[in-house]
Amino acid sequence: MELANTRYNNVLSQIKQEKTKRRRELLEALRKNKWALASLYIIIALCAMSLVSFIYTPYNPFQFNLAIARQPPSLSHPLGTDELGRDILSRIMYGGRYTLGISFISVTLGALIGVALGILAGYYGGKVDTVIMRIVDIMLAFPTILLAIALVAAVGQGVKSLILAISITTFPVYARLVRGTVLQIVNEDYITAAKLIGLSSYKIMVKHVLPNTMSVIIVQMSYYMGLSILLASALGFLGLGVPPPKPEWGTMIGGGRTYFFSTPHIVVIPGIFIFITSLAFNLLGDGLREALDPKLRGLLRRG
Amino acid sequence: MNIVLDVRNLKVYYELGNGVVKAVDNVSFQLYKGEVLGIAGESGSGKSTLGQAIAGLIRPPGRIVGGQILFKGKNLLELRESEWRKIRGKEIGVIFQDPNSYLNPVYTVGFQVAEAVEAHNGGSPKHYIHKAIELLKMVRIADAPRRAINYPFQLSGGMKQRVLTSIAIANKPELIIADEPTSALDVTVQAEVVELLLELKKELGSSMIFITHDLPLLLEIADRIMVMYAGKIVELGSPHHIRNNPLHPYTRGLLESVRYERKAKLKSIPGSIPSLISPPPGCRFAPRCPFANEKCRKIEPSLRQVDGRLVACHLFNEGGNDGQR
Repeated sequence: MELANTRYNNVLSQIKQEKTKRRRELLEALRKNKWALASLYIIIALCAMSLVSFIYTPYNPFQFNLAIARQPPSLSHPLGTDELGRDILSRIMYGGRYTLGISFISVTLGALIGVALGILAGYYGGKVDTVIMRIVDIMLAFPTILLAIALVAAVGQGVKSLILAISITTFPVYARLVRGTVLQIVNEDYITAAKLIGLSSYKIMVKHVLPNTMSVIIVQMSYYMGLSILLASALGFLGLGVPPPKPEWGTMIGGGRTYFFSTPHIVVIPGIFIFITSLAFNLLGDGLREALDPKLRGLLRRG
Repeated sequence: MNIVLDVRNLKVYYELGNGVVKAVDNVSFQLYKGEVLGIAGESGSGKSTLGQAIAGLIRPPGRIVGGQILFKGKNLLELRESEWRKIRGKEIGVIFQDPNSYLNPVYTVGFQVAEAVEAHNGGSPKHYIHKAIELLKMVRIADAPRRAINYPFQLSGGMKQRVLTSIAIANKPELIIADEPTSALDVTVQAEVVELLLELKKELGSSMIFITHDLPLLLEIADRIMVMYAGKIVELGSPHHIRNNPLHPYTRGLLESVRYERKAKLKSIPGSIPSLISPPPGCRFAPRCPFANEKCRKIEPSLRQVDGRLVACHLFNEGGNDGQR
């Protein structure tokens, strides 16, 4: 029995090895895509920068000094100073935790809600599907930014309401996307087989439907990271996002916009960061889509 | 004898936009303990729909319109989904035609076999990995511990069909429904899989419904053979009767179209299966039947006891055989 047990443990560890092997294959496929890889590094660097801000920033991001207001980039202030003389680099670093953090949390939250609803709708069909999808349709009928503005206006300004607004405006897209995938999957024979061995609906959804939709979800999440950074910044710019003096990137653009013609760097620099981050997530999404879907491998590159 | 399954006047209809397809129309039969019942018929005869109905797999637009399916005395059609779950995979195991699509591509086959055990015993599939390997050995998969960690795409079709078989028998079901289990396999592998199924059936003391279009195969392996045509049973009897003296013109046609032991020319049955939306009023086979007369075209024949088996044909009267050959 002792011997037998070690043998079965062997099998289990081999299964684990097999899984890590597949993961490695995925990373390998990602590595071959230069744009996606570069994007991944940029994202890692930006996250690292935001994390470093917890222990170190070159200057205090809130300390203003009107004597050095609106200075262009120099050696002492690599990215210049803003309208109140605050160091922009420090503010960008500090603000990254808001911009990236808000996007990350709201994307996760939106995905959780959307995926759950999408799976339920696709799996059960019929009335459940009709009710969920009509709600989704209603949500999708509103322009994203307008819905977000309305939500923030209703709940009140702040980080929490920003997260709520972004996740509520994005979850319908996941629901729609996942439902479509699930509709395909429930007609697969292995779902019939899972029913036939007597698995409960819950287990079938979690164990057999969800893993097969994972690739779609991951790709969409990556795209939506880019989108929600734009959304968070847009709301910040409009004065509905993270309230000043907190240096969320969109808020920074909003604060400096009156000086756009005299000292454009105050607006342009946070803009570049928003642009690069959003682009990086989108390119990573493309790369992931290609890596996760073997059918697309090579196809996208050729085209 | 002990009746395991008693199907009474079963009707399964598909409600499509352009009418109702009567895929299984008023079918009744019994399955005895330990028996292999072969169901033969061409595509569209309703044989697979019948199998699916017994396994509770009819989904919209399909609907069971009437009848009863009594499994060990319980009417399966009255069960709630939660009660069904206790029977599926535990007391009724199903094996399908295409082994390539019935395994989930994202899990190892060992996990999927273990999951079938876990579904009726609780716990986590991981606890049953040793049981899964035993089951894989039972279906004679060489090097089972190594195969258990393979993904479906790493196995051949025959191997996958064995895995599915091991899933179907994981909880020693009393009834095994095999729906064309060999049709998608290489000819060389077919015989092995059939032999394996029969052996497992014997080992577990189960009954089996074997659905196929291969009537000669049934003549070899079945205890009784049911020939279906356009949703109806046309003949039901022992292989002995069907081989030596097929009565229904359709059964004869089927045998002549595949008979290979004699050097006789292969014959095909002219025409094709009728539309099941508006089937011919009399005998459904009448339009293709060389012996059909006025009565056949007007009145639907019922199943009657003729010469030791059941047959639905006007050419035969009760107890005798006056059919023209």
